Amino acid sequence: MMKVTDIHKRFGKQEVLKGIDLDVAKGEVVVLLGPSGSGKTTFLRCLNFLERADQGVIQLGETTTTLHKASKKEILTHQRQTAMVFQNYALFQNKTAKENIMMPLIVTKKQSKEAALRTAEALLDQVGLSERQDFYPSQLSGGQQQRIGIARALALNPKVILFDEPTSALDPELVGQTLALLREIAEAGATMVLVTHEMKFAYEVADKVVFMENGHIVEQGTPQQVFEETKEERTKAFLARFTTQLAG
Amino acid sequence: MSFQLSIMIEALKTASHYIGTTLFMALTALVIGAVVGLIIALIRLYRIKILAPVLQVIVTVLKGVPVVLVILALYLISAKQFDIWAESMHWTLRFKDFNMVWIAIAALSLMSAINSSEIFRGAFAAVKKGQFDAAKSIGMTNVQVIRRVLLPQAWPISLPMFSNLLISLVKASALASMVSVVDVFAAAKITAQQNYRFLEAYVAVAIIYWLISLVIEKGAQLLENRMLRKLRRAAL
Repeated sequence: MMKVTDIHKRFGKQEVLKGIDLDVAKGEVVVLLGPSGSGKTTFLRCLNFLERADQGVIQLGETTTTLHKASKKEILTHQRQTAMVFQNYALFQNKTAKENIMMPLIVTKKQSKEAALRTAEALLDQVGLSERQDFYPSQLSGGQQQRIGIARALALNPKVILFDEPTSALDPELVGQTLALLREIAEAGATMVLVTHEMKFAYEVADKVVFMENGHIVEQGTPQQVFEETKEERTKAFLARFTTQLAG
Repeated sequence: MSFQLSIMIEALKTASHYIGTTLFMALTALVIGAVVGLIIALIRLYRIKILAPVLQVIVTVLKGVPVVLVILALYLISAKQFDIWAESMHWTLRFKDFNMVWIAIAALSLMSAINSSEIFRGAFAAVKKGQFDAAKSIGMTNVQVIRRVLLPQAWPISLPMFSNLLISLVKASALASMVSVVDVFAAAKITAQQNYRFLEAYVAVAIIYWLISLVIEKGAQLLENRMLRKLRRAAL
């Protein structure tokens, strides 16, 4: 579904991504783990052209895009086939919950208002927020905002959904609800790439776990391989707290 | 010399006939300035090559020039040069055909454009970066981002500052009398020149400007209250 080859990105003198390769199969859930500053978020943003990578190729479905050479049109086409869920939700502040979900449908998919409304209502129902459809983001709790953010991403019917620490800004109770929703979406067959610190979620839901540090992929494999049969010392150290829980 | 209320009221009546001219100059300058200012602010926001740094210098320079100088400069330049240009372009329009109001409006628009561009720049800065990320992530074009996300959020933030700008423009329009436009200020001065009652005339003028400012401020407040809920949302 998505094949990423040799992504490099530098900010000024600092090289943040030093050649990342990743394969994501259709319906696969890939979780990126790693310490802060390891480049996970930058990598995700490069996959959606929110940052322009300095080098690298993305193959998404049939189309291949060279990251540093992509034209405006190529970028838009790519962005309309991927969706992103943000740590701080990033809902449009001037739009209601329902309108936030309708926005990509009307603006980028050129659907009629009626069609967009029907999709939005179905998605609101799926994320359990039908009764909040006319609320503005500032009137919703963090967990509710994130569910709307997820619904907005789903509305695009994207080939891949990218999640940038979707639960980091939520309180523990809301984290549970949001992870449950993510699990549902994963089980429904969506292709997902997640950056998260929720080890348990990664262990239980991911098909593939990728451990990144310092702009490199240190280790990747199935959750069993990475968590239980860890090869690299660095990965072991990072996962230590969780793996002792697992063992105990 | 005592202050005579009846003469002041007489001056008030005469001057008030020209409120239309004053408002016409201020409002036209506001509209032209807001459009030009928006374009300047957008060029600077998107850091368009060459234009953005050039405009930054122009804005910085013009911010420091008094409007009265701009009015006089425009007057002098057009008085000296316009007929020569018009002739070379084979226009039939000549400088003497100009209504001087347009010289004043041009100068006020310049002031208004510079101020508006700074108002928009501030309002744009208040729109969170995540809003742009979200818009791009769903594949919106720059024009769509501006129309559907940036402007709807920046507008409520900038409204109070635009009401201030309009008040400034109304007051600055009094300078149009320098190039022989008859507005509220000039009309009152003309009556005073006939009876040497300058104090009464100036008080009358002050009252008119004060009332206009009051109406603008109240109007803006009403609009603001209507948008207050939206304003709060955008601020969060």
